[in-house]
Amino acid sequence: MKMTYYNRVDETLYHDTLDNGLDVYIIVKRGYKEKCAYFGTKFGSLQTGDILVDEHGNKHPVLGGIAHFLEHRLFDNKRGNVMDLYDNMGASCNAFTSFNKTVYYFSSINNFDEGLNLLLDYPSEFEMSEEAVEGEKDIIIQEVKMYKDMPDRVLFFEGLRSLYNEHPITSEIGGEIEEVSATTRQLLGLCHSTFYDPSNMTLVVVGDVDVKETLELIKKNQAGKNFKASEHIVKEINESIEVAREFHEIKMNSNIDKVIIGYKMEPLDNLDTFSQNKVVSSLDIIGNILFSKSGEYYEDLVKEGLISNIESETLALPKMNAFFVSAESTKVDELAFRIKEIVASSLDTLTEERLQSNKKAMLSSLLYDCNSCSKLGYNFVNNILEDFNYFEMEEVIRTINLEYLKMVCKHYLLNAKVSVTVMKNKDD
Amino acid sequence: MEIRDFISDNGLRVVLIKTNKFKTIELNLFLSDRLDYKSVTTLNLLAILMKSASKNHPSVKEFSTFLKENYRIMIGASLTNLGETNTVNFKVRGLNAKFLENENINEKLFYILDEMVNNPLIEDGKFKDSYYDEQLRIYKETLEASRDYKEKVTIQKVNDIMGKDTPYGVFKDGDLRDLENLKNEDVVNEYQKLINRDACLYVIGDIEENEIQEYLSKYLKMSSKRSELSLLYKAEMEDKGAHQEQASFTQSSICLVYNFPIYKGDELSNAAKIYASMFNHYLFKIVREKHNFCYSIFARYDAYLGVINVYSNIESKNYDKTLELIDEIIEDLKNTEAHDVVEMTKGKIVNSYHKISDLYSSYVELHYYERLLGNEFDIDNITKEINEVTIEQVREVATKISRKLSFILKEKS
Repeated sequence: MKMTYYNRVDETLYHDTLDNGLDVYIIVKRGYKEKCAYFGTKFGSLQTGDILVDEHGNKHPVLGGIAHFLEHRLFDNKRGNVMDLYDNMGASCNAFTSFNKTVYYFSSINNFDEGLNLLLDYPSEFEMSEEAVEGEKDIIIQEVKMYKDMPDRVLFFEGLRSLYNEHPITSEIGGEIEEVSATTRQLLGLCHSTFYDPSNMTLVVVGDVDVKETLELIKKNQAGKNFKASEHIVKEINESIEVAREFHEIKMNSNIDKVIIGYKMEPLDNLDTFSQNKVVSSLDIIGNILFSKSGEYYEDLVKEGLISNIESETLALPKMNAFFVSAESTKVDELAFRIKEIVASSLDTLTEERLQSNKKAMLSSLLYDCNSCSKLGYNFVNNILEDFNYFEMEEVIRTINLEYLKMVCKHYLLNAKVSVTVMKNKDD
Repeated sequence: MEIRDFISDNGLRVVLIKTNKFKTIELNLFLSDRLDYKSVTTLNLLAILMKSASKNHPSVKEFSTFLKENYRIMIGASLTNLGETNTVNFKVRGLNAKFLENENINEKLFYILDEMVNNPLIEDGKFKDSYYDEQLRIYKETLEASRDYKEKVTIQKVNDIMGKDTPYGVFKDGDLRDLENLKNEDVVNEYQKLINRDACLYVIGDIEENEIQEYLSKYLKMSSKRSELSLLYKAEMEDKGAHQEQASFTQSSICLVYNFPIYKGDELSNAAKIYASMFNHYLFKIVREKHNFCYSIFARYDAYLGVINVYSNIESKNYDKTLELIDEIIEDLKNTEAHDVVEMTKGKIVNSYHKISDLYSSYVELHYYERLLGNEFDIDNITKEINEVTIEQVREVATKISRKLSFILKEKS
C-alpha cells in the first residue's frame, strides 16, 4: 500500500489496488468520530444507448435511467433490506447515481468493520425478483415526477439538450417514465454483470481508522471475488460541433423567468486528467471573474435590474465540454444578450490580480472541504471515479497562470458555439 | 475539545471551543429575543443587508472582494425560530494560519464580523438608498422564485392556515406580502432592536483566549444581557381540518400537522425523540417501500412547539389511502411490541449525537440552545438518557399525537 502525505492540505492518503482490480483509497482523519466509506462504479446515465451482450450473444441497448434503477434495487439483498441492516448497526447509508457513476456509501461511529463488509458485499450481489422490479417502478416514477416539477433542474437539462444532439448527456439520470416502465430484471442483471466488475470500481474510506487492519478486512472480503464482465459495446457518438438549437423557450410553472446560456466547447478527451482539471478550473475562474459577487459584471447586472441571481459552471465529461451561465430575471431576453456580450469580451477582463484572488479562493475551498469526513469522502470518490486524485487539485490550481488562463479562454470559450434556453411562466 | 467560558472586557459572553481538529477558525454570534411574528420578513431582509456590504466596504463587490482576497472567508446570517424565540446567527469562517503563506487572518475574522453587525451601510437613519432598493428587489425575486417549488408553496399555505400570528404559522424565510408596505426606516428600526439583543459569541478552532480578548478590545464592543426567553410554545392547537388546493405541478405535495405536546426538557422528551424517529421509519417502510406511493416521505418533530409535520410528494389518487396508512401507523405505535425497532432507533439517535462533535456548526448551535434552556450540552449525558428510554414510555407518548390539519396541493389533472 502506497502512502502519500499532502502537506499543503495536511492530509494523508493510502492507496492499493487489489488482485481483482478493485482500487482502494484510505484517508486517515485522526480525532474524528465519524467514519465513512464510499464504494462506486463507473456506470451512470452516459452509458445510455450502449450495447450489452448477454451470455447467448444477444445484444441489448442500455435504457435511460437503468443505472439509477439498479442503484435503487440493490438495496434489497439476500441478507435483508440494506437500510434496515445499517439501521441496526446505528449507521446511516445512501447512494447516488450521476452522469458517469453510481456510488454507495455509509457512515457510522461504531460497527464500522461490519458496515464496511456490508458495503463491499451488497452492491456486488444481484438478487431481485420480477415482482420487486415491478414494484420499484412506481417509486422511481414518483421520483422522476418530482424532478419534473423542479424548474432549475428542468432548465439545466433543457440547456444540455439545446447544446447536444446525440450525446447521452441529454438523457435524464433517472430516465423518462416510459424507460422506467420498460426496464426488465434481465436488463438490470446484464448491466450489473457488465459494470459492477471490481476492476471498474473504487472504494474510499475516510476516518480515524487503523490502515493495516482496514486493508486486511477489505482484502479478506474481496478474496475470490472475481467477475468476468459481460461484453460492452460503447455507443458511437457522432456529435456535431454545432449546437442542437440556438434558441429554445420552455413554459413552466415558474414565478420568475429563467435563462441558461450554454457554450459548447471542444471536448477534453485528448488531454490527461491533470490537464483536463486544469482547463475546467480555469473556466471556473473565468466564470467567477465575470459573474461572481466580487466579479466584474455582477454589480452592473444588478443595477440594471437584470438579475436577482446568477451563476456559472463548467461540465466536462467524455466527449463533451460545456460552460453555462444561468440566471433568474424579469428581463431574460435582454439578459441573454448582455451575458453573450460579456463572455465575448471576457479576454480583456482577465488580469493577474483577478486570477490570484480567485486562485486563493479555490485553494481555500479545498481546505474547507477537508474539515468534514463525509464532504471529503464525497469529493474524493467523485474525482477518483474520473481517474483524478482530489488532493492534486491543489497543484492544478497553483499551476494556472495568466497566460494559461487566456489560452483557455481563447481556445475553448471564445471558440464555442452558443445556445440560449429560456423558461417563462406558462400562464404568460 | 476544550470548552472555556469567559466574559470579554466589554461584557460579551464568549464560549471558546478550542480544538486543532479543523483547518478553520469559526465565529458564531447569536442574537436572541422574543419572536415577533410581524418582524420575521424584515429580519430576513435585514440579515441580507448586513451580510452583503458595510460602511468600510460600501458595495457588494467591495465586500465580496475583501472576503475573497482573504482566502475566501465565508460568512452567513440566518434566522432560527424556536418556540417563541427568534435568533439571528452571524457566522464567519476562515482558514487557520497554519495553512496560509506567512499570513494570519484571525483578526480579520473578528473585524468582518464587527463590520457586519456594528457597521452596516446606514447613512442618515436609512440604509443607502440604491443599495437598499437593489437588495429588496433581489430578496423579493428570491421569494417569488421559491414559490416555483411545490414543497415551499405547501409550507406557506399550511402556515397561513395555522395562523401567521402564531409560531406554527411563521414562515422562516419571510413572506412576500409583508414587503408591500415595508420602508427602509422600518428595517433600520429593526436593526436597532437587533443589536440590543442578548448576545453570545462562540469561537471554535485552534486559537487562544488571550488572542480573542485582544481582538474583542477592538471589535464587537457589545455586551450580553440576561433576558427571559421562552423557547417553548405551549398552547392549545386548534383543529384546522382538511384543506386542498390545486396548482400546475406534475405531482401533489402534502403536509399533515400533528399536535404532539411533549416538549424539550419534559420527562418524556427522549421517548418523544425515539417515537418521532420510529414514525419516520414506518412512514418510509410502509408508504414508500410497501405501497410504492412516493419517493420521499418524512416526519419532522419540533420539540419547542410540540408538533410533528409530515411531508411527502405523491399522486393525488393515492392521497386518501396514504392518510389511512399513516393513521394505521399511528394507531399501531400505541401498542408497539417492536423492541428491535426501539433499540435500533436509539442506536441511530445516539450515533447522530456522537457525530456532532465532528460538525462544528451543529455542535455550536446545540450548545447555545441548550444554554438558553438553562442546560449544559453534554453529549454523554444525553446519549445515556436516550439509552434509558423504555418501550413503555414510547407507547405512552404514542397516545399523545393527534392530527390537526391535512393539506394537499393537488397536481393539475
